[in-house]
Amino acid sequence: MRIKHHPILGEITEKKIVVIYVDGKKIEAIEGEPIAAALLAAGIRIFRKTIKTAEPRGLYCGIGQCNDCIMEVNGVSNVRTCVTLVEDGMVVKTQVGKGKGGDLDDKY
Amino acid sequence: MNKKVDVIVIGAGVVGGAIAYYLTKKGKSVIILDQDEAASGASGGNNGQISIIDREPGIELDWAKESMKLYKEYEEIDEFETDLELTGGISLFYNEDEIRIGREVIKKYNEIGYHCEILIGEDIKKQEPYINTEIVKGAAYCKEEGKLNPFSITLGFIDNAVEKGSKLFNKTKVLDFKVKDNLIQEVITNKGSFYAEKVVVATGAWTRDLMSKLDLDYKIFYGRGSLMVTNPVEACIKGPIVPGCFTIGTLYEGDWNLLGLTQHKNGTITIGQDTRSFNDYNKGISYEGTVHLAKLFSEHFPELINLDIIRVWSAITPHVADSLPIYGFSGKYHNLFVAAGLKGAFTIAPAAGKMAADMILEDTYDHRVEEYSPARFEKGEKYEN
Ligand SMILES: Cc1cc2nc3c(=O)[nH]c(=O)nc-3n(C[C@H](O)[C@H](O)[C@H](O)COP(=O)(O)OP(=O)(O)OC[C@H]3O[C@@H](n4cnc5c(N)ncnc54)[C@H](O)[C@@H]3O)c2cc1C
Repeated sequence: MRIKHHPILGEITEKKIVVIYVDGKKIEAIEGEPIAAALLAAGIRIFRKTIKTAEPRGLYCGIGQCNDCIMEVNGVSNVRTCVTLVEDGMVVKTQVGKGKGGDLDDKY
Repeated sequence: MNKKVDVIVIGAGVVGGAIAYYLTKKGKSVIILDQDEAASGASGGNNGQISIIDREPGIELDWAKESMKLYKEYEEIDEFETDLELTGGISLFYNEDEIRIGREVIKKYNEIGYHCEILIGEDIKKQEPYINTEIVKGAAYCKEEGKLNPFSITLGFIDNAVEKGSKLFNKTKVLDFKVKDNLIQEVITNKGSFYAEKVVVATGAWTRDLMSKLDLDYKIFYGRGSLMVTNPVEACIKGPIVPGCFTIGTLYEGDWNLLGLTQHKNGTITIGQDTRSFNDYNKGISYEGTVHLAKLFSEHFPELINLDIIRVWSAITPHVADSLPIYGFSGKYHNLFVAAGLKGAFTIAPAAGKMAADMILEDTYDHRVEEYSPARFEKGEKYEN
């Protein structure tokens, strides 16, 4: 769902529609909107699962402070989707647990 | 009027917390006062590292050894979590000179039973696989170093003391004292007066100000140290990392910006440390210092540059002019015990707190702490800051 007529911001203007991939599923998004906005518009509410108990989390503060909406974006984990803007072809994944530390296999 | 108790502990950091914990265990009635709240000072803003090879052999290392056992005990009897992990730690060297001095330094520790070695080049990656060995030429490894959770420990001490009957007064700032016959009779705060047989001052960076109310001029100053923290990530940094000049020199005074970091059990990495001297207790952070720290981190760990920094803060930490703790009974006020300026206090606070409780209650005296006595600053001279 999107707000098309906003009492203060006015009418939604023509925007370029692009495509992003969320957990392998293709969704449409408006170029330059926050990833979180595109997900909500597509009905996706769960962005990540918590570290200890794998509980679902999604958008909370919406202004980059709380880090609840972090996901893996183009292979980078812990990306705050509320302040990261959509680009065509982005690959977004639900983040389960901690983010990636580094790429070496033989960690501890 | 507040009822008179056995002991008032001023300062709810790890040092005041440990002392209150052991006094309470011994059945004493204790009041803990903090101008802000528990763990609001340096104890809630640090890197959580256990450091060994920046300490002179002697009582500090005895305290360190005993403290590791005590941390295990708190977990075993289910009092509180410490997240203590003896992962081994490294101090970073950037040139041949530092490595050479480092070799001398670790000898001293190996001789008394610690397990230290100098790692060169690629060998450093056995401990820290992501470190950039183009920059870091060598490292002093010490197996007995590690990390812990400073919040859980500080609050653990205080909560346990409170559970067993002690009282914590937050937002209660000690403003002055009433003295008679060289004894503190009354501790005056913004929330009224408190009374006790004995008074413990464990006020960290604020100690010089507070002691001036007793016409004492302790040569204890302070600086502001900043850290930043990342979002939680999988394990990628094993143990505590400190600048080598901590190990081979005495870099505690003045301004500096050097890389030291810890990855914690929850996956976050605290990255420090930008340190500035100040003449006020402002906890602000410096823009230049923060940017420089981020740059240092990315140079040292180029493969980890995608980590997200989510907070930056600073904490006020004291340093004593002669680099020794101020620990023991005052020579001037007979019921005043001071415990401040214990460097890297998390490595030693359990044992130092336990001994302090014994000294306070039984008036026992351990000759090994003689040189820490506050009396060395009570001879009447005034110091310029
Ligand atoms: C950036 C940084 C990194 C550090 N890293 C490490 C590390 O990795 N490992 C380690 O062991 N140590 C580290 N330290 C040092 C460590 O934090 C301190 O040694 C330790 O916290 C000191 O504990 P404390 O109880 O003496 O002081 P504090 O925790 O500062 O406690 C003093 C308390 O006294 C209260 N107080 C002061 N004046 C009054 C008053 N007049 N009335 C009432 N209350 C008052 C304050 O509010 C405060 O809560 C670091 C410090 C900093 C700043």
